[in-house]
Amino acid sequence: MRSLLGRFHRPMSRGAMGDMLTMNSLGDGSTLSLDFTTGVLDSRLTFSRAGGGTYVGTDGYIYGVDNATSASLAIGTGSKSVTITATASVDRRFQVGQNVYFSNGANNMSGLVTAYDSSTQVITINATATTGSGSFTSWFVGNASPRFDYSPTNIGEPRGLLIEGSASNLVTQSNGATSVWGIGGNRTPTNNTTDLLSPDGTNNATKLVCGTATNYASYATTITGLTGGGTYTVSYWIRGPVGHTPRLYALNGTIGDVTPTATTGTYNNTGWTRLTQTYTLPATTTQVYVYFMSVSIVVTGDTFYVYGFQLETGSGASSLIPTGASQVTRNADICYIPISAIGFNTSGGTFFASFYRGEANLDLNQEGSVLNTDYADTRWLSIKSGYGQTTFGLGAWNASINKTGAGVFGLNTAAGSYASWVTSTTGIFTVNGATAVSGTLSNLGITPNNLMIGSASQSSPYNGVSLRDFLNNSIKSIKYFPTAKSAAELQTLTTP
Amino acid sequence: MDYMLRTPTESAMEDILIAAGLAQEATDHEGEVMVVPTEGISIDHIGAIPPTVDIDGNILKPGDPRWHTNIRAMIELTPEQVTALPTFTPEPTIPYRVFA
Repeated sequence: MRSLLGRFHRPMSRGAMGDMLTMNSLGDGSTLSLDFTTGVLDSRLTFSRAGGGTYVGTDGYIYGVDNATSASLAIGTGSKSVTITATASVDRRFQVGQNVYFSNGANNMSGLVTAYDSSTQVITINATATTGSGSFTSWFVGNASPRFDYSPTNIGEPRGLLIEGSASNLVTQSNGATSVWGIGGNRTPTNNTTDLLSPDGTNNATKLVCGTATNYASYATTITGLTGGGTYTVSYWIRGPVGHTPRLYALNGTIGDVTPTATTGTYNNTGWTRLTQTYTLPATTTQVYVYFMSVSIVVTGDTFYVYGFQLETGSGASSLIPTGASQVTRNADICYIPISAIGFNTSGGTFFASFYRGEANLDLNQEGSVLNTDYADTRWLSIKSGYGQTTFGLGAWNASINKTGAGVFGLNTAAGSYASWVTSTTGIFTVNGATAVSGTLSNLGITPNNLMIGSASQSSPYNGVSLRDFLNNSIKSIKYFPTAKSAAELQTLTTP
Repeated sequence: MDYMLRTPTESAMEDILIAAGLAQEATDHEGEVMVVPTEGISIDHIGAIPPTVDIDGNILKPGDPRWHTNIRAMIELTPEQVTALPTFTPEPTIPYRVFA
């Protein structure tokens, strides 16, 4: 499959080919039609993320952040080259013109890629910004470009533009380096095993060979500095025989195993699975053990493979944030388009969005926005989950109309479509072809500056970074019609 | 450009960031006032640095109860803004947290 990469739309590129936007009707009556599954970002969209971020490529492997080495290389501006540690000729999908960071701890330099040769894995940037100083031989290479995500299981299935808020991986050495993962016993770890490719397509997973049958074996590390009573989500990839049970153990406060409030994933011995668990810590617990593997051994010599451990705040797992010796923060994705560019009709128009709610996003007590504006908290679609229900809403500062149901629309695990029309005072919307709902809104009379994609503005007006309510998943397509469609038309438009 | 910052308290950090024009107060849709970054700035509040402990809970490296924050500036800060930042020396060889 990897040899066929050229057949797919290359992710992260921008160009006139993707400029499907026009002020004129596009044949279906819309004046905006963006298809993010092509892997191309329309040039009239503004996108930024101040740092690297990972995504799943067309071949199911994880891209966006890589380890690299160099001869002693000084932090500074100008042409800088490092060699990515992936196997030669494995395309790590960096492209000329993308903004990339070379980092060593808090020291980094960033700039646009001027050359990348997968046959040698040498990547060169023209560094224009720097932090810190010194010379180093090991690096993280982070791609700060838009992320077009694909299914890790249904290979090649596009999921659209990934939009996530900021998140931090609170676990160091996320691939299980023995320097950090020293808790547990009755197993023999091997870092960077060559037995198999890890989920990012390289040899950086950890192999765990267990000891005697019927005995307990585990591989864990200590995490300190957590917030008592806080909600955290653990996620990691694992592959191995039956027996592993996800585990998080409180070391202070109410000492003992903490029961997850939600869990996803069922692993096996034939492929990689990302497991996730969400925990609410006891009120005074600030230190825990987190486990890559916890098993009562069935067969002597049972072997597990683990990769990409992540512990983050909140109730959903975000895309992988690889770590080394330090915790790492991935910055938020920001994407918007000027409202003047979409043929916005202040007297009434229809928005359509098709988006993806991933299986790794547990989405409990979270709010996400698919489409929003930068003014007065006006939103065309928000998703709230909690208390066992999912609510889809169309609203403004102090008024909203909602559809609520416990998993009625199934959008936690599948793609969905949404459409609404709004005037200055009223709105109507539907999800996945369901019966439309309508109501009175307010504060919709203001013409906003920008249409936000996958997030909401913190307050009016949008200033570039003050965002909240991130979708934390991907958007496949959006459309805008400068006319108000009927309820029946909205149902038809959104029927899966 | 990244900066590692340290102040005695969270509120002191926010006051400094606001005074430097790197953050501002904003009211969310539920009426809660929050301190959010201004355009071109990413703020990552870390808080206190916990101690490093071994397998038996023995402290290998003491923590730091002061408030820590990382910021990443995608814009050119003025000399006055840089001067106003509560940076510290020496910076740690292995930072507690960094940006991707």
